[in-house]
Amino acid sequence: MKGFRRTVRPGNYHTDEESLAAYSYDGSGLEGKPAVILTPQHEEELRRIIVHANQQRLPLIPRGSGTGVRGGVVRAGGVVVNLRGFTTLSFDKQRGTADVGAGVTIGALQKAAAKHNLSFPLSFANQEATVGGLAATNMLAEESFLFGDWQELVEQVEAFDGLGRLNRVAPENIIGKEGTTGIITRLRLKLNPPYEMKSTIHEGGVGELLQQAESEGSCEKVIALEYLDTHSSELLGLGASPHLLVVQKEEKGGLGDTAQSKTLLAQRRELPFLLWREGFGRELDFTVDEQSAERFITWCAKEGVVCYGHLGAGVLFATPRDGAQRRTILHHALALGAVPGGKHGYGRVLGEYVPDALKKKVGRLKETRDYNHILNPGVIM
Amino acid sequence: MKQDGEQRTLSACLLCGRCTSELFSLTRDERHTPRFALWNVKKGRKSPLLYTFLLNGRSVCPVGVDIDAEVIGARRKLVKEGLKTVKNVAVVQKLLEGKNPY
Repeated sequence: MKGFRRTVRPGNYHTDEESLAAYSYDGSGLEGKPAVILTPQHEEELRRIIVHANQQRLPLIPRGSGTGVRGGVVRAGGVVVNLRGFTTLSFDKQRGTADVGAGVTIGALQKAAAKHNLSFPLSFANQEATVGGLAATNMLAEESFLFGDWQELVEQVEAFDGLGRLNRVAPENIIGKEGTTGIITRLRLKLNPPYEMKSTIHEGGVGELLQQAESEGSCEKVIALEYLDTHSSELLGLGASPHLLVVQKEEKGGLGDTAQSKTLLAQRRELPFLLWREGFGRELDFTVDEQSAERFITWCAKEGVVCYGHLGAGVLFATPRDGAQRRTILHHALALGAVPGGKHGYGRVLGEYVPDALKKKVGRLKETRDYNHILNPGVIM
Repeated sequence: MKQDGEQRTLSACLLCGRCTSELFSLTRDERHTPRFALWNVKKGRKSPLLYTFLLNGRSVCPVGVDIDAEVIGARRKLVKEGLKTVKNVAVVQKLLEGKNPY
């Protein structure tokens, strides 16, 4: 590990107890004490780190803010590469794009973009999450129904492979691969000019709301379709029955209620935190289609499991009260057609649920980009 | 939205990382996050970094944990248990000498 000392400036190499402790966890609850923390400030330092790690066959764990909930950045004995030093940020107002360093937080990006009358289409509850981390896990948001996921919103990616080569990488070969096929240094993101919104809240039974979602979903202007079960609706002050929140784009000068829609979406994003306040655990995310969504929601209602989510984007969340209920949910979900994972990545928490197709794709990419398997080993593969 | 304003105990902290601080914004080092302070308190770790936490009330927990109170409580415990840091010893020495502690 001492060889890494030469790869970065002296203040950016840490092996003291406090540093190792500080980087031994993330938002998942998993823990694993790393061997060294490196904070490269530019690409040449990062290249030196990767070359040395590849020569010595040492595991590199790329890390942003450590706000992920799947343990993707937690590995005992790993070499943590803290990318918070990659903070370049520039805008092309003409093209409506931003070149963003991997260590820029989503909050900082949105704040800077607003000055150019632009915004990144997806919104997240945690403003401290880095753009690199969100892209690496392909984190979905309410607005993904209309604007798509990170693969669709990233125009270009610059990343180092496991041999220390900096390349432009096709988004599909790195977004959502959780740092296993490359370490992202910079992304070119597509931004939006501001738009008006209008929201509608429907109340009713599960079947009724799902039918409503199906008919609303065919409208090209719909931004978000959010399902809220009885408990979630009560927490948001909507009343004791399931609800469907529909947010759509509205013409300028139309009958929009942009401020109210933004507030409703922001309140919806606070839901996990409100549940945590009540003593619930971390939410589990499931990828669903129309049929499995109905089965899963019905099962959750019957079992008293809190369920809500991005119905439009095909992701539902189930929030367990305790470890036993968590195991029960995971046990039944697959039989109901709800596949664990889809919003937060898989990390080390949901490793057993990584789809075979994703494993195969990452395996193929690693053959040429990281044949010594130094990039975030233990995740996806 | 329901907002009861009630504070939660430390066990409610799920290490989400939303409780940022000015110091962290400057250094971008996890050691300077309120999250690390809370993690130390949870673990009962005698971390000298508990003394670098600013206690300016600006670190707000979305789940309602009173971060400053937790850190102050941990510091009290550390003092009772006799943890001394180089800086603390210097501050006490200066006070004893009737000088500006800083």
